[in-house]
Amino acid sequence: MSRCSARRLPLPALLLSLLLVSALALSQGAYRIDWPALPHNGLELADWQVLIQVRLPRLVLALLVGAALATTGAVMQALFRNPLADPGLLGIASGASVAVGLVIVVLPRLVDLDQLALPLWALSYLNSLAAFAGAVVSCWLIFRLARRRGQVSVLHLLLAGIAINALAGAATGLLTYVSNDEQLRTLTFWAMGSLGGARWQHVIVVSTLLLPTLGYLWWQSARLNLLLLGDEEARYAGLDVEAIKRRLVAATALAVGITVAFAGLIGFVGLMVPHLVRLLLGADNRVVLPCSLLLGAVLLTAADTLARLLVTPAELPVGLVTSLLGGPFFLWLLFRSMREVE
Amino acid sequence: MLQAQNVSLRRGGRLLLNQVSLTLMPGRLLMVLGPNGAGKSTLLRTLAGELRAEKGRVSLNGRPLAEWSLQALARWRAVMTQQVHIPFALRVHEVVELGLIDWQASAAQREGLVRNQLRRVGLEADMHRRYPELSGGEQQRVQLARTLAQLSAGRERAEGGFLLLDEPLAALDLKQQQRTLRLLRTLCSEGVGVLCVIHDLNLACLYADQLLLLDRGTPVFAGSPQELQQGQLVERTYGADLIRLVHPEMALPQWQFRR
Repeated sequence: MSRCSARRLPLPALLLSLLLVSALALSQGAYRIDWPALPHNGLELADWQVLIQVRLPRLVLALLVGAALATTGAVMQALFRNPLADPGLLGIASGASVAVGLVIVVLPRLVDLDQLALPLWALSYLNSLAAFAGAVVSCWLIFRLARRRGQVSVLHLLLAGIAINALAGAATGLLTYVSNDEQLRTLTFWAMGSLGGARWQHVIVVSTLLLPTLGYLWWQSARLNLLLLGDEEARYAGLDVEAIKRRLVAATALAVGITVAFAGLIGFVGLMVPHLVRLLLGADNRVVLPCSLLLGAVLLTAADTLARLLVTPAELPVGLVTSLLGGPFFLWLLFRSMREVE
Repeated sequence: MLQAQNVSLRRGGRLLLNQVSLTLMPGRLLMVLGPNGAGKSTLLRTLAGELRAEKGRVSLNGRPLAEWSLQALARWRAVMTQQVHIPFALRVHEVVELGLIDWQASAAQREGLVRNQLRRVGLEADMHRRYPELSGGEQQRVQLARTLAQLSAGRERAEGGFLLLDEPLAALDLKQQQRTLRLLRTLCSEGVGVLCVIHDLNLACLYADQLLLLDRGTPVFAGSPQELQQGQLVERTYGADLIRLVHPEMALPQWQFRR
């Protein structure tokens, strides 16, 4: 099996595009590095600092977040047996963002954080934890709302997503209303999604949590295929469906929560990437998961580089760029699935 | 040996199964008959372990079903439900391979096994097609191949295993019905115990070793096809106006409509 699927993984192409996009992301930006002069002068200290302290952590964060968004999208789609499932559309991400918002706005009123003198990494873990809790609550709500006798209906799924997104929007609005200037800026950053402000400390927190989670999801990809048969059939084939679903939902919620905690709401990557992979390489999750992981990393890095370059010296929130790409894609998908129903 | 003893099941105040007993030995073909809503599928799901009997007990090889782990159970019995919808474009061979999920084997072994099962249902040439693009009948045959793969995984042959099928002929044309029924007989000769829920009384009489006739959850007949022709049991159970004939080659009872 492993040899079989390894043959179908277009690893060279994916890794090459990963390298190209990374090189682009590192070399280009508002701060100009004089590349043609490099052989003569070498890199100056300022160049090094921009590269190592600004662009490299941002690149790594983009790769990790993109990989996580695309992988969790693929997992959700198998879990709900529905190609339209996506952590953003279903409200899992916005549930996580409300929890992070609560930590930003409400927590400082209850506890004096300055007195505790928490280091940055501890605060980052706290945010991730809150985002994870928010994501789990949303997941649970969606499962309760959308499942009818073991079947997930698209209608209920999307309605549940709308309801949760609306609730989360209201909660975020309320938080905005009571927040001070600094908190307001942070909240806005969350709502639009951005990879700016990435630091190595963030990258360390994100990678320690994300890499094992993504590894676990990849490891489960053969079982995801079995879930496509339906719960009853998967049980007959020997899969403990309830247990595996609980674990997959927890891992997905964790991964989505982390991306939200560090990059805010970045939509549609989880929807677009697995779809493209399936279109090109087929629906076998042993192929879809690893390829989505790599392609997600490529796509988000490309989108982030675009966001930085389009309006230099300012930059667009990357969530805006992915939504601009993803919105039309989602509409096309919806039209196609409606035609299929007819 | 798959055995049910006095199994009763109630759902929402309705008695779905009432004191059903049966014994299926390896190498035997048991067909379950009955009018619509007689509890055939419910019985199959109870025997498969998906539904739990309220009273009575179901056991596989002498051990109560509740004591089996899902994984161990999957090695000894495979189940094919009516129509399996897969919302993604998996290839035919990938669907069949789902039966081998927890089997540690080389890629070549897996591919060989998948190919063999597809050959048995006559779909070897279609192994690279996409499942959602197949006709309903072809999808059913792919699912049959998948359950066969599950039963053969990790063992030389499917011998000693049990296959539970819920109306496997529903979407098949005549040729494929015959092919599938002959395949079931072949499986029996290989030592598989087959339980098959079926609508067609005549096909059941022609192929089965044992019959079980259910009426509103209650077994009204259990025995061989020859024994079914005694009395007016079939006519009464189905409430249909029928003529009883004898199969010209096999001396087995068959029924035709009176116009």
